[in-house]
Amino acid sequence: MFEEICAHARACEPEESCGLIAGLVDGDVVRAERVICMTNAEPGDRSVRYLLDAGEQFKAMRSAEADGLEIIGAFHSHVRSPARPSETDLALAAYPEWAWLIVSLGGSEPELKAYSIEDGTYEEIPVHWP
Amino acid sequence: MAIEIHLPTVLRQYAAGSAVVEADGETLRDLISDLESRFPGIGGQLMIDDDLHRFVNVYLNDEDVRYLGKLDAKVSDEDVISILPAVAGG
Repeated sequence: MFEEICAHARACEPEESCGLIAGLVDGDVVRAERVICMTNAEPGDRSVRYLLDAGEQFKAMRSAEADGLEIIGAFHSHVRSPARPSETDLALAAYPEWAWLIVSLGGSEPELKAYSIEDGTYEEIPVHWP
Repeated sequence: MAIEIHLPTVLRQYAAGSAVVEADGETLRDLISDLESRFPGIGGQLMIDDDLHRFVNVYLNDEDVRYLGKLDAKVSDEDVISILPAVAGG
């Protein structure tokens, strides 16, 4: 999944990539099962903003539900800036139960980190890649 | 008539934690007005300047209401409204 998210980020350069992650929740453990790469439909500058295509978002949520999964997070890329939430990310994050993954392409290698975001504040959360 | 409305986590605080609420009306605008009368503050999360908020997606059954007349979208018994905040950032 790490490779899939990074590959989508590189394919979308110089624009930000985005998508959803479907998985399973078991108590405090959230297991990602599926990466869903999506269209950045932001009408403005997509090198510094992203907006999931609304129709794709709805279909992905319904599809996950039909497969017994739920959406557990979203991911997007920062083309140049570090892998931490921007002010815009903090202001617009509307799913406090999700993990928000950010992959930065600003360094020599992609860097990916995950955060919980609620009420405009964030906290890094651990991610274990199989 | 009562229409079922599914609320995202972020809006449930306005409805005493309920994930699903009911509202009465003939259009989406009516439903939001009814919700606001019972759950003050929720209307401002859905609408701005008499339009749907840019970062809120509302589905009438499986159709985006932006293609059904937005706030004037007609609703009828047994319809289901789903409110999905947009996923956006920078």
